[in-house]
Amino acid sequence: MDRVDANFFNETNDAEKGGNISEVQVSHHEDKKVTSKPLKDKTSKAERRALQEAQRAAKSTKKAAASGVAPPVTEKPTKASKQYPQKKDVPLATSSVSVPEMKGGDRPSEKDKKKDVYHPRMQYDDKSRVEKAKKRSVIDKPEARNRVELFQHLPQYERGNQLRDLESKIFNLDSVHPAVYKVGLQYLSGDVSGSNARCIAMLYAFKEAIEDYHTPVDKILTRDLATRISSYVSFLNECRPLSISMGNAIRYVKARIAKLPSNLTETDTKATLSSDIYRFINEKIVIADKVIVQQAVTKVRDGDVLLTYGCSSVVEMVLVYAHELGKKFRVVIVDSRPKFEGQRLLRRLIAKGLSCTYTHINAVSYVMHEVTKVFLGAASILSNGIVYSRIGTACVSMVAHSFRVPVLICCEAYKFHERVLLDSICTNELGDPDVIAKVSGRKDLNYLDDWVNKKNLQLLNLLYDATPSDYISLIVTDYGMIPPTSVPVIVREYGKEHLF
Amino acid sequence: MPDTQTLVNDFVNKLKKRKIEGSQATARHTAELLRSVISQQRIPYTNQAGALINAIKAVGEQLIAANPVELAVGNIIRRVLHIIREEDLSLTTAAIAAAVAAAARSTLRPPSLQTLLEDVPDATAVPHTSSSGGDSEGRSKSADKNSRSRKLKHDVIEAVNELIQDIATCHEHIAEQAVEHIHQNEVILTLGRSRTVMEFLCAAKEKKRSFRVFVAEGAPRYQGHVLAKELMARDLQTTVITDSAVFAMISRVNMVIVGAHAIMANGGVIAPVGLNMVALAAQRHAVPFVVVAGSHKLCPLYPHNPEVLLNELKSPSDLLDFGEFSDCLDIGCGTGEPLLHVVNPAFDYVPPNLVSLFITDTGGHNPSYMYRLIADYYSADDLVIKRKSTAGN
Amino acid sequence: MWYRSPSFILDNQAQEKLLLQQQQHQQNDDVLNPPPPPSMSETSVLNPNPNPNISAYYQTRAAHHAVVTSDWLAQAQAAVAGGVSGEVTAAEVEDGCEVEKGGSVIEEFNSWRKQPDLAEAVAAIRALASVIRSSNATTMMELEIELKKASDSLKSWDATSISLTAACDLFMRYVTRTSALEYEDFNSARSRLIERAEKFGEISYKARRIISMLSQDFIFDGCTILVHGFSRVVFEVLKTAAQNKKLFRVFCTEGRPDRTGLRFSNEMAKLDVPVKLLIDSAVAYSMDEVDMVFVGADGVVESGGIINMMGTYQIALVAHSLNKPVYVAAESYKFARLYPLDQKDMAPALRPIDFGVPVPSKVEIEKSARDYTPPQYLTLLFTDLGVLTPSVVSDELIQLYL
Repeated sequence: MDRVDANFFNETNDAEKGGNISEVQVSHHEDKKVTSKPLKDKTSKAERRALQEAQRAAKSTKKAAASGVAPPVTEKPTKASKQYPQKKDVPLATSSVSVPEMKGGDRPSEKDKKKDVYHPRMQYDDKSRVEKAKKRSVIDKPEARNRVELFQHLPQYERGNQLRDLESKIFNLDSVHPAVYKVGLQYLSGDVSGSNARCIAMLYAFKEAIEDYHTPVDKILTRDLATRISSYVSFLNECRPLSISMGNAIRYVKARIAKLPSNLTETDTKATLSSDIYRFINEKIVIADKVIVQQAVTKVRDGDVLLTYGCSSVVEMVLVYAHELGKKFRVVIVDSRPKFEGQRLLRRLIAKGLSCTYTHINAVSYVMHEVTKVFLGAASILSNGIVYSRIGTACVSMVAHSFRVPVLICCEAYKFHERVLLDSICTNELGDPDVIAKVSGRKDLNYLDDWVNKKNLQLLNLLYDATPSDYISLIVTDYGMIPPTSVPVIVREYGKEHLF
Repeated sequence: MPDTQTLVNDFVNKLKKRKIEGSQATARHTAELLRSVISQQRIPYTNQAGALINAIKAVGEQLIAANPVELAVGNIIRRVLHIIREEDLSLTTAAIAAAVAAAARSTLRPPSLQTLLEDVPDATAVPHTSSSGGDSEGRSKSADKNSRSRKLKHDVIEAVNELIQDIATCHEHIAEQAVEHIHQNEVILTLGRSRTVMEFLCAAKEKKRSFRVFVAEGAPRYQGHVLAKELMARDLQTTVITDSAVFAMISRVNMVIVGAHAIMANGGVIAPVGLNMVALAAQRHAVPFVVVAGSHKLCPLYPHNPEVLLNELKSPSDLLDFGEFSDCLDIGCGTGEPLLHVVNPAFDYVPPNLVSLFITDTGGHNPSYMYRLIADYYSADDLVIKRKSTAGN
Repeated sequence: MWYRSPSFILDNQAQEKLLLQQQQHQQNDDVLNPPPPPSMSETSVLNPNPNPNISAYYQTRAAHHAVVTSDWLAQAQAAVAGGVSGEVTAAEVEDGCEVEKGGSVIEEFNSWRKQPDLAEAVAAIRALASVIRSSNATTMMELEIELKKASDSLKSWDATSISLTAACDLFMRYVTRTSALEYEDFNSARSRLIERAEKFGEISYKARRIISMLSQDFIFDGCTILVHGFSRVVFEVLKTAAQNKKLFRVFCTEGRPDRTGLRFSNEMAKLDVPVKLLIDSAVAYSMDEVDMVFVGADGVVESGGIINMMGTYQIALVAHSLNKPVYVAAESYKFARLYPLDQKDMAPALRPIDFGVPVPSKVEIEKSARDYTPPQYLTLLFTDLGVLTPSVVSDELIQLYL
């Protein structure tokens, strides 16, 4: 289990070994090979070792392929390599897949496992690893006390001083580009939230970093750049665990870097990369949103009562556009603790002149009688049709389903992922538990003030949950309106083209 | 009866201003108030029961009108009326011939197939000498009648005392059953705070069962925090989660135990807001949904529009801060209608098919059996509390 | 299931052909020997239901409440009116007193039954009352025995009518209970029984009024009600609601082959209630506009389910799957001690169906007139005993019969 998880929480920091594992597995899939190789090498010695491992691995896999043992191995590379890009949540499915990989008799894999120790976010159950991880992390993060047992496999830290810490270090960090640092701070403080916003902010930061980049002497541009990007990614990851959309975007960037022809000059390379990133943002997010809005608007009829949960940028666009087209409808905004994101949406919609009803998630059965359709956003949609989205979405979909109200999910295709998920426990993000104890604006609620010291009491602040596919009526993407069963089709067909 | 009237007015005010919280407290107060009404009621020598019933109905009408959503008030009033009828019946059967007694008994039973063809004497046919509550002076002509009337009052007051006792001790009876349902290493989910649930869980803990509890906060009252603190003080492993996390966590839960505001005759439950969501999630994951409630919460009415009629909308300031959203409140479109509505219901209706078990102080029951308990505690004539009782509801 | 296996079906077909031939023989010979239907007691041989393949109950209902084609009506009338009295008189002449009694019960029953506004149960009880009136018994026991015979003959005459059976049983239980009480005077007891029996008609009316009062709360302004079949009780409910100035609209299913919907929509239109007529197949299509379904019941069975006109089960299934409540309005004397497990577990009640075009004889027609709706698809029952959930029905029956 430990070994397996090691790979999962390996974003950039598959460190050398993580990268090498992928490399071993990946020798057939050329794109990935190059991308996986240059990882966050904090020491040049490690980098050299990485190179050696790579070569050794390449040889052994070729042999394996020749001997016909290849087939299982070859399949897995694609999965494992996809897993490699800095995503924090990697499915157990691929993990079990990669285990045999590692044990596939390749010596590098054993060493890889040991080197994985450096990654800051691995087994939180394993004290030694956690200690080592702390040494390498940029941000000083004390472990949270009083953790919920069920979620021991997810990281949780005490949030108290991180922001101030980072702010104080702003002029001292030289390994992180200021734009990226700024974005990291914004994540940490919660100023930038929502998967589209985070993704765009990160990509723009990368674009700036690339434009400011100068290849150091005696280093190859592509590899060094890739390493840099990986280091930025791990920094961002420490600020706040990456979302799946960000993971997909990073994979794209790395793929583009890997595909750069080596004969271009530095300025040309940088220009190409910048434009690639810009194109990604434009095509996959901005224009995709427009397409989604155009389609979703056809489902809004006069006299509808539309319910939405939390604050989704796409759904907001749909509602505003439908209002501009002159359709007469009402909006019900359902909100919940601890973030109260719905209030932002409420303010913006009222400013645009839509008639809104605001309520909290417990009252969703009460309002559902009048609702005709439910529009929801998603952080990601997984291959078995499960919608991974803000916590509370599953409850809203369930109540809508019991009242026979259709549920529409609006989600860009770049957020799809080939993982599968069964429940909300295996992979999730844990937020700051202190916000549960304190309710803003209600000073009288101080029952849980001293919760940290009480050993019987734990607070749990989950950020995401998994909505089963039978609650969903249709998914609106930039590829059209699809049923939840067709998500793997899109992932498979379009993944290859666009390098998800 | 100026004395009783002031008491009644006082109580009515408290109900209107929602100063009394919780069905148990309300039920107890109502019972005590009715007891004092009865004891101070002067009754004529004929038809004592009728006079008492009318007096109670008069008071009852006012109380119910003060807070129609607090069903415990109506329940207790109907219980007292049933007690009066029963006591009257047992007194009269002691005194008169069997045949007439049988006829009288049939007025007390709810209509059933057995009695369909029988000549059912109308309950209103029994002459009422005084119609309005409380003003008749009964000068008893014979000592015998006088003592009988006193006996009726005495019996009734005794029975009402028992009722008050039952209300006060309902938690113990329910908590006794905890051990049958909670075994070792269970994970239990609850939402908000119910005193019955807390005692239930603590009783199981005292029997050395170790289990974990997930408490959902129960916005916007956040009573879940209070419950968590209490449970933790009793050494139970407690985790507080937000209400939106219920679906995510319920797959790891063995049982959902909640309290109720009222139980309707079809087995449906009027519960604090958010419990319908929990019941649906429990059904989806095949987790038993157990409702614990004292018998004073059993209501003989059938809910025909419970979300609206049996619900209260509380102040929106629990959800939105007026200061922050004052600009939104000002914006209106050309028609002048406000664009922003805030909905904050206090209760939720859980239909009977979602409930697995009711645990009351009389034991555990299926939702389809609740009608039987209701038939035991209430008479059919009292379903509508009006001063002049109408036959056959 | 085994009775759907091919071999069984072939066997059945062969048997039916045989029966058909026999029947034709008998009718040609004009002899009273009836083809043997499964449940026939001894007395009924004397007064058989002339055409056991047609349920007299449903014929009468159709005659009362439906718009029928003239062909069908002629056929029904021939079966009911002509056959019985002819045979009865013949039997009377032949067999004397006892048969006369049995015959006159049925005759009496039929005469009451023809009135459209009278419930079947009331007709039965009135017929039994006439038996008491014309009986020569001198003790309660003798009277009971006579009544038992009469009630048995009634029940067997039309085995398909549940309210008939239930009413007879109810009356018999009442008689038994009354005789258990000590009355010195036989005559006073007897007159009391007659009086109660006559009053039963009023009880039936009162029951309908109680039911309509109970259901008023459940009809809210702006609701849409789906109705199936012509139930007098449901009609009373809606009439009262309209008189109370409630605003609602009604969807009527056509109710082929009786076309009860046409009749019902006529009545509703007279009350100025907005009505929409649906063909039976359009129920699922319109179900999301509907707020509740109201049906009557021919009988309420022990499980809490109901037996009602063909099509009720279908509508209840659709309503259940779309989360709409199904309300049943039934008087309490319709509770019967039956417990069907599935649709075929009841006595078959067949009736001729006219498709308007000639159907080739090789084509089999499903002629059953009723179906069984299990209790899990019903939300509430409105009866004169109060508003009940389906589980209460068994409770009542247990109290009555044990």
